[in-house]
Amino acid sequence: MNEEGPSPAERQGRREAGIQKTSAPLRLRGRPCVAKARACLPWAICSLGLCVVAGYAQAPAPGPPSPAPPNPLLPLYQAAVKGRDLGAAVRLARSGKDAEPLLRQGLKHPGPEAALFACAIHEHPAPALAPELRELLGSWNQVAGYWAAKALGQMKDAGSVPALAAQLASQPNGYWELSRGRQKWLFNQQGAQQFKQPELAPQGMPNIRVAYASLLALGDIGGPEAVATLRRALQSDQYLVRCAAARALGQVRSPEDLAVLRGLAARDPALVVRDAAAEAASKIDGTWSPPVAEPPPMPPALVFIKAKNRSESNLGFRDSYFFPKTPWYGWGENLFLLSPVAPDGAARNLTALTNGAVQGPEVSFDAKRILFAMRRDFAKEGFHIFEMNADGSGLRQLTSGQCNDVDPQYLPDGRIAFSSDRAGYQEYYHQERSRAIYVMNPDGSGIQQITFNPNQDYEPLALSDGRIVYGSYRFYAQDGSPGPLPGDNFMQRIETVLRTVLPDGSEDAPFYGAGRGSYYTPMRPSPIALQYSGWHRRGFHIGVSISQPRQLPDGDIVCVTPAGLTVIDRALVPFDCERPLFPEVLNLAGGEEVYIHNHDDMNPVGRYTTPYPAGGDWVFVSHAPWHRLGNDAYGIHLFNLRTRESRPIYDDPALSDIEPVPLAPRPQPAVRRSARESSGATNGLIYCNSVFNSDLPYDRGAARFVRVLGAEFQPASINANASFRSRLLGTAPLEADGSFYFRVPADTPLRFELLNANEDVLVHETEFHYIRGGETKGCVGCHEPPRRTPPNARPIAMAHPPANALPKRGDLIFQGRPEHTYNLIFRE
Amino acid sequence: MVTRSQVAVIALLTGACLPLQADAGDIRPVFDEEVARFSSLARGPRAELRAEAAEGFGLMRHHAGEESLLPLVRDSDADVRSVAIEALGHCGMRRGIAALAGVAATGSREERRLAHIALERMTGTSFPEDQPGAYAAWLAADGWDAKEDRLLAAIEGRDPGARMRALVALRFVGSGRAEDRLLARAGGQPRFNGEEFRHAVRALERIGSAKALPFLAGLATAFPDTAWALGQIGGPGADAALQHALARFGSRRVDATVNLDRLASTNCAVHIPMLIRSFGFAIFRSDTDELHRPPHAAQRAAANLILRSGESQRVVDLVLKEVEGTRKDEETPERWRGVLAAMREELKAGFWRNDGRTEADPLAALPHIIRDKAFVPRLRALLRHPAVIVRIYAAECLGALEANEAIPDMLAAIREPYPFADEVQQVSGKHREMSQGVRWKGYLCMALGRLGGEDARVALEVLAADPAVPRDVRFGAVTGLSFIGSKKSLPVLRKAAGTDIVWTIRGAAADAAREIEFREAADVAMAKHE
Repeated sequence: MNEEGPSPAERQGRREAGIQKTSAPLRLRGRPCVAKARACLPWAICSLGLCVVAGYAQAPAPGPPSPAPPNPLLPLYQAAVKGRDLGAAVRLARSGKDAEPLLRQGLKHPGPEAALFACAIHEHPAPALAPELRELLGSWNQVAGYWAAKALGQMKDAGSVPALAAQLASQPNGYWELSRGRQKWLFNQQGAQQFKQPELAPQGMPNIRVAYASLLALGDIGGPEAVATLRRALQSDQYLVRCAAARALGQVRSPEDLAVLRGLAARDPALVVRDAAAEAASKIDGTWSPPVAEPPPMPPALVFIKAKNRSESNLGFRDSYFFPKTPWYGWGENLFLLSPVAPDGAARNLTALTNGAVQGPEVSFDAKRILFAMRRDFAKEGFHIFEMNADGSGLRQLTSGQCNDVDPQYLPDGRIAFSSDRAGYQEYYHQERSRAIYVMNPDGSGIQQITFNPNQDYEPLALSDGRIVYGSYRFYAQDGSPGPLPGDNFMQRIETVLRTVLPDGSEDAPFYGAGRGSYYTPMRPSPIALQYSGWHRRGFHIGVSISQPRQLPDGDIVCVTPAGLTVIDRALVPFDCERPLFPEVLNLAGGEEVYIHNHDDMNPVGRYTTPYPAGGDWVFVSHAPWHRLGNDAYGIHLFNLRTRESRPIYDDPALSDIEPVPLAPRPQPAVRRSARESSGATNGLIYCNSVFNSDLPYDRGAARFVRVLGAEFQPASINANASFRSRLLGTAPLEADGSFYFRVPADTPLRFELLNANEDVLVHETEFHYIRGGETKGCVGCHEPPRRTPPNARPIAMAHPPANALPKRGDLIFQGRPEHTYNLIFRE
Repeated sequence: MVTRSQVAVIALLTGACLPLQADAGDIRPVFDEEVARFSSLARGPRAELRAEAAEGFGLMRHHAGEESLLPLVRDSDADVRSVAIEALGHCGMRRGIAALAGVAATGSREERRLAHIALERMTGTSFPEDQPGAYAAWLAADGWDAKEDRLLAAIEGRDPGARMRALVALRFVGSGRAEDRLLARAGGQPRFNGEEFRHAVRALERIGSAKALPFLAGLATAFPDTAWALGQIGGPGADAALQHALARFGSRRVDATVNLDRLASTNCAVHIPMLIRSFGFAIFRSDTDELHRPPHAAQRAAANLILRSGESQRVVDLVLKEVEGTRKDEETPERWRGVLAAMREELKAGFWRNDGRTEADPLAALPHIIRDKAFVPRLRALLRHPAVIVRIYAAECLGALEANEAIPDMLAAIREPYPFADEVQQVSGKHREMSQGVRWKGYLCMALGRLGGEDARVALEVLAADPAVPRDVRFGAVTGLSFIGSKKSLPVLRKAAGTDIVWTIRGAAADAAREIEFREAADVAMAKHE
């Protein structure tokens, strides 16, 4: 109920429930309602909470029926349950003891609503409800368990310590993490039915996210048993558990833990644990100073997009999985300018489209121009790049043609980078038009393609050092080719990773994401993942999805990962460099389901998307709260990346507000010059120091040849989940030191195979590289350990002319494996 | 106008030789065609042609290539030499070993290294790489019989490493006199492991005779390699064993189909339900029929087997009847009924494709086996079939039949606009009802290219040059022009290569122009050479 009295919905609910404005007990059809009545009531009525009230006021009055007394809190309860309204639940919790029966019943609600009440009690503790909260710790509803643990911690309820401590698993890998329906699932058995054979979690197994919150709660409560549990938790095989334990011990601040925490801060393999331990140690030794929480000055205005339907693809590249009939690219209906940047600021429509779309706004370094992609007519036009003055005047179109140009970004040399499907090939998963990265002059002339991935590249961003970081969608071995080693069959791993490239397309290199699947899925793949393909026995490697990178003032990257909003430490990439803002949502995107939003029902923190640096530790970000994840639910927040403090900036309740970009000057990145010897060449050089610099377990002594394979772009395809073709470009003997050196075609995706003397495959590379014409590119090894320094010796291969691996008439072209040839007779 | 000599060169260069209308006896096996093609290219005047020959033989790994490869290891072009040395390491026998021993002694560093690795495999004997004359000395040390005897002794010995090396080498060093001892050992104890059997079979491919057939027949369903030995030895027993191999491995691997085709087998009618599903399918992800490429070896071999079975006409008729909805079970061989009836789901109006499987793939066989122009009226009607995939393959059949009378129908279908603007509709989506954006008209352009002739060429040139037509049509038009291969198309292709907004179309046009120019130049050079 709101302060003005019941709303129309509440009044309707009362009518349905038969609630009268009298003090008589609740009645149905003239009879007193008792708890027993639940069995005979239609579920639709039960679900409104009617029986709750019956149970709460169950004593039937003797004698003639009399009107039930009004329960002024019931509408709040109903609003919370029926409307999934956290605000109503919080107001209910704020109501004190009178609300406890309703809250108690809410905590016992069989559906996901219990989480609302647990969260509300976390806001307004109700110690009398501790038993019900403890019950929730073992619920199938892990969001409820998570908030119950947090509420118990907030209450500092010592009686809950045993229950919270029981959330620490006694065995390695002893947590469940995902549920389907109301069952706690571990994973699916591989078999004839593939992913249709669930294995349920054993009775009593704790949930990983609830364990995380429980350990933090133990830190809030303190006491010997809590501390003993936290110390044990520091030994956990799960870094999320160690992280929580370290944080909690930082709350306890016991000097006895100082040495252990310092050791953890120095040596734990997970950055997020080292950070937590270092902070805890500094709290104990008194050197800790809290981060500055004051937000930076607000920019004069904020450019953003309003969208009716902001969904999130699970692949990060925003297409395809929801089968849109039209290119998606994360667009909205109009571009707006918010000024001042405050909840009461005025939002002015800059584009005034009635049947169009806008995408990817960016502001020039001097804040005088706005760049964005737009479809003016939804039925007839593709996206093209437009620019306008900062006040919305002077709209000009920079690109045109039968294609879609999106994700525009200013480059420091004045040019513009963008992604476009004008490359004309189709990615080999869903045969969508691939996007590639392009650059063009400020007036739209001189368009040049600079990336050459047979799948998709998008979201270019100029880094401060002049490189371009971009999102790259990669699908390994979808063509039926083998995994890296014989026996690693049909890996079919999907990843969206970050790569960097110079503005001329040279020096394309991995930046972050590749090989981090097992970080984001530390225990098991998702129950609905194709485990037989999304991982394999070497390290349970599972795909990741990294998107929406933005560079922070200190050079780090904030982006969206399978753990949601994440900061990537630029000094530590590519491995062990992640700082997820909410590590407790790790693995909500396990297995093939590589995007967190596929498990919204298990997400206790909500969605975060399109972050943009706001100064210091703050970013503007679009956020949809965990209890309201509708596609119109995003509002713009100012968010602190260290404290997790969130301040609402703007929220149109009817629309999602996304892609916030401050209209303020920003530092201009460095200009990087090309390292290519000749931009007109049609081929380049590629070498490897030694293929023996590798973590792959293959027989080094057997390796005799290197084979170069090129990917054929797919210009025409009408099948789904299909395949590209490989072209056998050339083979050359491997040098004794493991080096090789090839002349290869420019702008062609390449990969390598190691062969034995019979030319059988020993190692098959599943990743692609490309080089630009006139470029020379080298690598240290194949899957080399990340910290290994190559020997200071000139590779033998570099002392001789390169072997040719160039396209020739009559090259073998095949799908997946050469025996599935498509043009020639081939024998293994 | 394309000249007769150009036609011959084009056929030679592409290997895209669909059998013409002819009796089964006139159908030349794919293997023989490929050997003849590469042998001819190996004598070609241009290095690109000789390198193509060397690579082709190297991939076949068949000793039929030895004769052609021997001069190529001393070719004037370094790239040709490298490819030929590697190929001879798989195709060579005793003469090849001798040639490679010479290269190992006197070639460039890369050639010496390639020859060295090849000789290790071929001789079963290793020498340090820094002894370039070692293999020549090994060759001169004693005769071939002695070398062969040492390999046989190793095969009969207890050292598994030496046994494997010897089994591999016997393929290159061995002669007919080794057959009995090899067969005896292969049938004896201790039993060979799988890899040893595989190499024994490979050795028998070169040294075996009819005596080896029982042994090989026993392995035909275990090792695909056996098909090559059976195809080499031949005869009714080999044919029968290959039939079993085909039933066991299916037709996706080329081993059994190519070797049955090599034996000119006429006994494959029993396999027709399988063979008509072995051409891939444009909408099938696991085995895509890539219509923008020439027919591939497996398709050509399977087509030959169907043609020789004498059933091709009936296959075409019944598949078309299924598509037309008029097929009756009583006129259909019982074993074919299931395959044909299963097509129905994918012949419905609005069907685009399944996810991960396909049923209507017998359609893909038709362009390869259709020979009778009497089908043309039915095919023209199918250009308007409710299922898009039918229209595509009807056009392919019309192209194969060179049905000029169908060009207006095909152009009308191409010119009819999609019900959406190209750039605002996702290309495909995933499958079934999510795939309404599938672009299919480009395939009709490719079919026009297969149909060929001046009318088709002119029509395709107009489409290729029109930036307003959808990109799939422009790509299909450029591809079709590459099939026709007329130098008259060069201006249009060069313009598309320079100005089309789509990179892959520019690339396809540039490739097509380059290929036409190459054929022109090769034609001239070939004429001079001859």
